[in-house]
Amino acid sequence: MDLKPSEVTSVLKQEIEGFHSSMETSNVGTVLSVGDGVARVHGLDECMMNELVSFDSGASGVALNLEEDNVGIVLLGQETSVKEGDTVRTTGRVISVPTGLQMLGRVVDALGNPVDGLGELGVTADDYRPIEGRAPSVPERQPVKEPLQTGIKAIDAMIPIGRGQRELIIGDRATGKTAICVDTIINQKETGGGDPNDPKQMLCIYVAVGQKQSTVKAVVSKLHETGAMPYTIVVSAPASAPAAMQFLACYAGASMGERFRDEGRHVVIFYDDLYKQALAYRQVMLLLRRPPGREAFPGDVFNLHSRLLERAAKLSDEKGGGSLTALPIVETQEGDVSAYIPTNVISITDGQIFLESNLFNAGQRPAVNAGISVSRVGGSAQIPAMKKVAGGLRIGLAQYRELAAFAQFGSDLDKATQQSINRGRRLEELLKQPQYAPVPVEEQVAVIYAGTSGALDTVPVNRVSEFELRYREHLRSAHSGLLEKIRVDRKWSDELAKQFDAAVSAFREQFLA
Amino acid sequence: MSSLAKRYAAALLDVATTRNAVDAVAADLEAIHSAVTGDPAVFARLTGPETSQVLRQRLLDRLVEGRHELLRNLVAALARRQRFALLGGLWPVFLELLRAARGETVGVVETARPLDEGRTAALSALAARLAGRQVHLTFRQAPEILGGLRMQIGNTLYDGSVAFALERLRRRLSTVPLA
Repeated sequence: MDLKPSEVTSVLKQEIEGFHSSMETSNVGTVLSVGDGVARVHGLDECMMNELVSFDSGASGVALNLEEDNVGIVLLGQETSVKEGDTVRTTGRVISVPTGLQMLGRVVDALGNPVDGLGELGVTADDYRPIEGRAPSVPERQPVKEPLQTGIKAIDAMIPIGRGQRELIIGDRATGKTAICVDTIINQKETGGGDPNDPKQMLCIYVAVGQKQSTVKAVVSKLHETGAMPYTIVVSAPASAPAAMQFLACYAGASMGERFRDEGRHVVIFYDDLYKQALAYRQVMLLLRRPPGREAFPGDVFNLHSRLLERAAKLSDEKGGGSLTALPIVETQEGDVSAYIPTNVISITDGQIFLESNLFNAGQRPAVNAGISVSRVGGSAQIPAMKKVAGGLRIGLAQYRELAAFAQFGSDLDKATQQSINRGRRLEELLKQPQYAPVPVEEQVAVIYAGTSGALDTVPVNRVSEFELRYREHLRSAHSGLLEKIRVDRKWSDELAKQFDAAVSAFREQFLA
Repeated sequence: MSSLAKRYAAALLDVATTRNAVDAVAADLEAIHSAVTGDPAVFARLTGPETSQVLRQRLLDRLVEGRHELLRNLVAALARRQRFALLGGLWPVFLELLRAARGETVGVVETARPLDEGRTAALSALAARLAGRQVHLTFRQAPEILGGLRMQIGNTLYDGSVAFALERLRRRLSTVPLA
């Protein structure tokens, strides 16, 4: 590490010059009891809610319970150093985290301290924002209108997400929830070439709550590998962190996102996952002796998530037109979406992406159940070309699902039914996508059109994926003009359809030969 | 301070105020407090499970003998509810409530060296101005603060000690931005 001698000298000088006036006033209290990461303190009568307090030993904590004769404080680390009888001082600051462009490319903990070993963040005191923020009011918002491209065909076509939306990703363990986040982050490179200073570049924040450190490390490595880290902040509150840090991490991430949103930037934030956050919150609240309710969660567990997700917004043009898109993740147990936390978060968000383990095990990856996944506001944000093409995809798949059940019983199917089932199988095959391989929206439009127009009906089902891959390559090399047209105009026309029909049938002949 | 002790103390103070017997009650309560807490054996005898009812009653009778009527009633009330341990914690709470009612507060001044008459008077005036009411200051010598002074009034700490300034300097130096 490189220490600037002049810096240290200047600190010393300031300190010596200002010594006579250095009287500090603080409100103090005494630790009555400490245990399980919670301290009860007598005194501190001017303590604010969520205020940071510091202990004699250098440990810090947050005041969460202000009662008549004591204050309940959750400790943020170093809990073994706090003793009964220790003096506690208020700091006059509510808990806040550093924000700004310097944070990008870094891995930080719930208090914004770097944990990636890359040195100081280089932020100033002005960059700090309280972790609890007021959500934008009605006049400060505008309807969601721009698309957030995840690069995942199944999502962009059928469950489109708009900038400023809140879309829940829900599913059992090991169904690819985190994979969707990582793919989405990687795909955001398209928006501004991965340069965080480009105002068009979408910025990403990944909040890992209660995860294994090895999982976080794997995500960070993947982001580095794919060049996605320069426009991403990772907030990590691993399973080994104190419970208080785990539930505060989401708010810390939201504050970092809000800074960019208020500066007119577009941000997407992933909370991975809110179920673990609720568990951490339950632990702290039970230790603080707040009354437990259903499943022993405290009564305000709904508000815990609603106030967090309400901070996602598309701001009005007067407010700079920035957006904060929230993609919370909730892990279900045995596919039970009617449990307490999943139903809460489903009711707060603007739609949900269901991932199913039987689809995943059947090889349908991403394991999105297109039938019951919805996006309540994203449709208006889809580009017109995709909207037009995806309509056919949705109908084709719906018919297929209806008929597929019958097809299992008998072999005597009429021609039309046979046709629908064939089409459906190929469409399903078309939605399969490997991990870390996002597809640009214009290529998505082209391949989905190929599927819905029936161009794939003569391609064997097991060769659809290969066909798709090679067809996209072919389009990029031979028909880049067509793709460009969709990317720029975003519109779909009969003329364009004819041109794609010609391109796909020419390619199919070559492919099947 | 337990909220239970606070309830009993507040009730006692209320009744004493209406009967105009605050000073007498306060003096007697302090005496009982020192009798109970001054001798650990007495306190153990009073609260211990092995003490018989008769012995405990005799002890209590001796404690309140000649005390103010209100205190005799209070001790009887505590005995009825088996709250003997409260006898030891009632006085500090009562004193705090009494001072709050009188608009007074307590403060502690810590200095590395003893202060002269003039300084203590000036500090008392300063404390009264800062708190906006009368402050009972206690002066204490605390060599560990090295120099300067540290004054606590109620729950507010005014820290101008050298020890704290050094601590703050240490914290700032350990967080100097690195090039």
